[in-house]
Amino acid sequence: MVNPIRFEQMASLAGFESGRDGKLLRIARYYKSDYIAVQMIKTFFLTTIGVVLVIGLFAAGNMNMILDSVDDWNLTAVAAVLLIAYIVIIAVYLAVTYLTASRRWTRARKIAGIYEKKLRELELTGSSEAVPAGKTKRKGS
Amino acid sequence: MSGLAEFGKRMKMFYARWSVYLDMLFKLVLALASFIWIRAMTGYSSLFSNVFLMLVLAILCMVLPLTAIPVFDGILIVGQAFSVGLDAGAVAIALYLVLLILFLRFVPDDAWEVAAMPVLTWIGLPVLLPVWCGLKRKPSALLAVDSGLVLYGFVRALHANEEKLTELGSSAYASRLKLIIGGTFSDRMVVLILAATAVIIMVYSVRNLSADNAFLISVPFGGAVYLAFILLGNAVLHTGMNLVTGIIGTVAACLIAGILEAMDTPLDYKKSEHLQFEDDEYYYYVKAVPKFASDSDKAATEPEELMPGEKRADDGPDRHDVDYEQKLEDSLKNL
Repeated sequence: MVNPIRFEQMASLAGFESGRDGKLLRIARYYKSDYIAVQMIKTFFLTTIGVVLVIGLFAAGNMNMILDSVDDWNLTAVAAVLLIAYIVIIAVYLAVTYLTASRRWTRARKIAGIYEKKLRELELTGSSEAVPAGKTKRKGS
Repeated sequence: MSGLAEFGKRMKMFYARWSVYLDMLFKLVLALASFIWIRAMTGYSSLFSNVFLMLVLAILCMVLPLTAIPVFDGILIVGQAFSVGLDAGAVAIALYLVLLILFLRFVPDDAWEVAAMPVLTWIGLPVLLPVWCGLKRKPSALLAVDSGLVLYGFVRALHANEEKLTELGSSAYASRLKLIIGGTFSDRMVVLILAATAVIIMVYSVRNLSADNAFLISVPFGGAVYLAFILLGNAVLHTGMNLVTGIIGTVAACLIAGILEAMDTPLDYKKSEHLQFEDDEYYYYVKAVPKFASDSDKAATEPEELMPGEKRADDGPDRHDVDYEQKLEDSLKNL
């Protein structure tokens, strides 16, 4: 016989485990510092690739102008400007990643807390199990 | 306004009942519109312009998540670009990687707007999605909307420079890349991107004000911001955008967004209440704005009209039945 209260609790827990809350539950397993560190490392490498691609697209779109005027450039100054721009962009992205990852982890912990509370309630409800249609419960189970 | 509220409530109930099928229909329509737009603007490759391929992909999009639509868009755009030339294909791939790595990574829930924005811009309603995002989403949605505009700019650059690219031949890489990348980030596209960004931020800011009807005021405000950017672009950068079609598109988009918003957030500002109270920690200043009750809600809460002499079922004894003198004597006996 299906226990309706237990069924409702299990359905609620199943809802937690799927979709967006499911992802947050997986995030909550990390320590906060570990999660943020992983996200920032990912951001560092991906942003570096992105910046290189942007510089490549800019150079490709202005190839004629660059080739015509490269002899007159102070290459050290150009390299310094590019390096400073790269550092600023990386810093901004890392800061945004730190803030979003920190908020996401905090939210994940809250969701995990609610999930654990519901799990405890489920354990307290009772041990009657749903039996598939057409089968009988085994003796002693 | 209450009529719109009633209609909005019915639409929500209809959607709640048929959401599985309506979501699939929405994905099919968005995917087909997106693929048709790409085919209309490009059409260089017989494989990637094949109608049956588009139909199969659109049917696949029905059952896959919404994020599949911009992925298939990307496959079609890159395929069409490679038909123009290796350089165009490389630029397409680089552009997609840049947008994905630097922007779209942060807004996975808004990925479908990357596909919707070019379609709406193509049909002349470029301000509809920015206004809707300002009303319903967070300002971070501008990353997805602007990414959609960049892709629109790229495809438009291929379309506008088709003859010149053919004349230049496949070996004049520098000139071809200048045409393609320059066309993608032309003055016109930069103005459109800045306008869409400003509309999202301004609409979001205005709708969060505590003023009455802030939600509805933000819609024409967003339209006005967009038109201001178009006028500035024409005056300063000589972008040459058609003002008449811009105004018609903006008005139509604002009407659509306003109606959708009035259906979804029906607030009766005339009955606002301003409350003040305190607890041990805070002093509260609260503005409570009731929602418009639909006709069915009003019927459930209004008391039914009674005929003369008729009593309601839950009424207590009629006051004329009570003998107050007897009750007074009884109470005096108990003193």
